Amino acid sequence: MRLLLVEDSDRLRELVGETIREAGWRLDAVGSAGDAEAALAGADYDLVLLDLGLPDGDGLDLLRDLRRAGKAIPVLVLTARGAVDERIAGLDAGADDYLAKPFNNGELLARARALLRRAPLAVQPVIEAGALRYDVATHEVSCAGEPLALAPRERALLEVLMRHLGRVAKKRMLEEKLSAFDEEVSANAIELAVSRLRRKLAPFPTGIAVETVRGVGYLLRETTP
Amino acid sequence: MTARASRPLVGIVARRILLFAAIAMVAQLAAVLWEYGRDPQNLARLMLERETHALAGGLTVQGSRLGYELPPALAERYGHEGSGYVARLRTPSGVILFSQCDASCTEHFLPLDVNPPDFWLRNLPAGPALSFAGGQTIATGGHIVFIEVAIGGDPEHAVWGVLADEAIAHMVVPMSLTLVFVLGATLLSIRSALAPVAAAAAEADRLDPAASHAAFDTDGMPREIAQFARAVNRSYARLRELMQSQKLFTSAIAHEIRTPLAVISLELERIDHPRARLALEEVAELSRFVDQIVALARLEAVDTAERAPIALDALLEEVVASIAGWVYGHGASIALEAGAGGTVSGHDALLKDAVRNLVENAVRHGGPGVAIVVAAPEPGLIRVNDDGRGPAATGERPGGTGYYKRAGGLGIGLEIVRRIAALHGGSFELRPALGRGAVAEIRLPAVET
Repeated sequence: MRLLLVEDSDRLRELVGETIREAGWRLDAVGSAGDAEAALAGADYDLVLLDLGLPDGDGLDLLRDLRRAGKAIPVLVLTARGAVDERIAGLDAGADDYLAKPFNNGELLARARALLRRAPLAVQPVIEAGALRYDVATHEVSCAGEPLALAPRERALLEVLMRHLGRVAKKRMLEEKLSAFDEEVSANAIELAVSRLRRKLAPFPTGIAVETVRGVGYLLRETTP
Repeated sequence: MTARASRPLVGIVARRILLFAAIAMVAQLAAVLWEYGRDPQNLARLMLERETHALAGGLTVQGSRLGYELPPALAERYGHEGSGYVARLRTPSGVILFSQCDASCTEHFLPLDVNPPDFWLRNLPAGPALSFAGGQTIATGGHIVFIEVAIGGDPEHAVWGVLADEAIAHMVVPMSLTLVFVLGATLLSIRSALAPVAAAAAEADRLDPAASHAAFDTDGMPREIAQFARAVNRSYARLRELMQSQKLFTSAIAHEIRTPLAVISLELERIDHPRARLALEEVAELSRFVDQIVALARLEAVDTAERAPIALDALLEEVVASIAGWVYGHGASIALEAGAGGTVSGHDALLKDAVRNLVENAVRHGGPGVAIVVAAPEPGLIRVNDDGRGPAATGERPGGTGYYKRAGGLGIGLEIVRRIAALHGGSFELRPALGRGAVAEIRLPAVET
């Protein structure tokens, strides 16, 4: 994984750089929009961490140019502008996610992982959440090295939930995704699959929890940070 | 200062005109009375004319014969002797049609064999004021009648009748006519001059100074009113400038604070000491405080013209989905009971912010394991209730305004919610739930769809 960090604060660049490198990813860090353009032109990145307030331009313009050029690299916007309206503006300009300053390392890594997880399957052969590992190619699920025996629907459900780690997977969306697998999928069938999945995960130290957000859907979250 | 009820200008002007007209009439009346008082001869002439005219009203003509019957209104003065008034009606041929003569007749009137002049008047200096004798010749139905009257001091005050006739004929009638026209013209012109003002006021009521394009259209306004409207437009523009600069100011402040806060919090995370954890919590509170202050300041600068129809149920689902991870991460739980929210007109981002604030508030102050339910039980109503410690337990005034607690406290978050509700023409209420917990409700005007 190769990431590009565009951030004008030197200290913040160092700190984020440290965190990213500790997570085992490669990182190039630049301090201006001009340098960022040069870097993007010269190398392929899997994720861009972009600050909006740059000394030589607005990060949103850089983002717009990037999208106009047809590049689909995931972009996580890091900004000091926290107001809701700007969050919308950032997402409209083509940001994939948004993280308001100040943030902590856990949040940063979680968001970065979530964006990398959305990358094409070839790039991301294994999805992780807590101690769970899901091998996209072989459809094998394991927890701390131990394989789990899951029915196809439970496995499909778990995959969707893992891809949405930390976010709510809406019931409607689950119904759609799972019905591709099996003709008739009702809300009840999903509830049933979730409770079976919970039961099967329970004996393992998964470090995750499947929460029911009644009225909306299900949330897979890591319980141990 | 007590407010005085404002009255319509037309009423004020009408009352003033009537008041001054009344004063003018009284003044003129006084002048007329004074004039006649100074000139008793003239008054006597007028009185004689009036009395003879009144007496002539009793003449009847039947064929070639003249008859007379005293009009009942005059009976008091001429119906009996010794009343102080005497009258005699006769023809040139010497026929007496009416007489209530006593000795004074021979004393004051011309002898019967004398044909009197058409009009004669003689003061009686021996008597009290208004003592005179006189006569007038009138023609009725081809007959000539001499009417003679003598009055000694006017004990029945017939003079007031004369004066009243004079006042009516020369003052009341012409002045009333003038008054009607003046009043009508004045009120009409006031009304038509004020019509643009009323229209402007109605427009001002509709205008919202916070809306980006709020301004009076001064086309076709009378000049004075257009001046006023332009002044209002200038103050609207100034208001928007202030709003804009506040927006810039708060976002600059936020920017200058947030980046150092990010550095501090990442640095602290690298220090493996319990005290660093405590400091991190403080940084988190501080950044939340900055967020809230900025959000609050921005609410003042919201362009109220930018509204769109919003399906409340979908909005609540979005908020719950986006915040659920944070809620469960803090050991609380959340559920959605939507379906009846209908449509409201508003700012999507602001309403989401309001709901998010209520949920965060419930998590932070509800206590451990609090269960939150976000619901839209009826169109335009957003309800967030929890089963935690109620609002009273956290020492908060329900619905209190301008109440700020320290960073992360309840005050600002709820103030933000209250203002967002107000911006949408709605209301916000926070109250203890029956039994346990708190109920927060944002009531917005629902839109018919």
